[in-house]
Amino acid sequence: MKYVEKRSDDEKVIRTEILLTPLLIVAPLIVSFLLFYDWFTRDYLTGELDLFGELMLAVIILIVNIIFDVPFIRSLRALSKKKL
Amino acid sequence: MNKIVKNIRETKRKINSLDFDVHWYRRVFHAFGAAFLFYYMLPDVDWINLIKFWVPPIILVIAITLEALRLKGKISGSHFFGLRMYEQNRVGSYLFFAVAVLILLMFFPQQIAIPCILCACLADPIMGEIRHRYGKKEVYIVGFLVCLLFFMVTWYKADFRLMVLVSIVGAFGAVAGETKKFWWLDDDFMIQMVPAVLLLIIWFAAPAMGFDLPGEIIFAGEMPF
Repeated sequence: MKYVEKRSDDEKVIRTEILLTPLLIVAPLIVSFLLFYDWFTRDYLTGELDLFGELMLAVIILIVNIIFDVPFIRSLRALSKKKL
Repeated sequence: MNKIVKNIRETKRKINSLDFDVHWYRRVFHAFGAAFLFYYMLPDVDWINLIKFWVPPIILVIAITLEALRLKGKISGSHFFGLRMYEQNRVGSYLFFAVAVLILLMFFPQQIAIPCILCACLADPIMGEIRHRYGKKEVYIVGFLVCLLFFMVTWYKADFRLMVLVSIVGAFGAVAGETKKFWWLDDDFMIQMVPAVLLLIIWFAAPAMGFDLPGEIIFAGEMPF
């Protein structure tokens, strides 16, 4: 698949993708943690609600995000080392 | 003062020297979409409900405005990292993705919206990766199974026969939506809306078929204070 090439000589500010990256990586992990925490406090500890679905969603979101985050961060490191 | 400016410039240069792999960036961007499920965790309080009602459309309007400015050439395309060649003169797929997510969050019951959003956020990049490494046949099989899992997880409270029906129809719709390509309508929209519409039909037909509809999967949180 071909992508639009990016010109690197017109950067007056920090690039958008660099600013977005921490959010892209951390936000799904936080949501996954919150779902897990909700299941733990309102289902596992008190049995107040049936939140098995939340637990499953937390696990799915966490696993798939880690699967994609790891090669992304690895590629980032490799490329930045090459450039610096 | 000069030293501070020099340090800022040097830091900026170092940060900007980071190079991104477009392929993985797009995958991570997709997977990030699962964070939108946070919407359902927000407490059911008046002022938060007001935010839930207004903030998503406002974000979408901002995205539409930015996209319109990009297409008109008022904003440099270099601010939109990872665009594909065919998106250069067409609306970016991220906007289709956002429109579908907004429609699902605001107008569909969460039992339908959650698996459809997960199909676009998680199944789509998985299918893309399978297509990248193997072949089309494997894409259909793996994509169907992954989507099937998402529908089963969100409908596990329903009657077993209804869960099976919904899972098969939903997974079929998601795979069909992903594989059918149109130049003017992105697969990021189709993968969410095709199963959502099919499931909405089942949603209305289920009571007439003698099935009880399942309860919510994510419960609204409680105010910490």
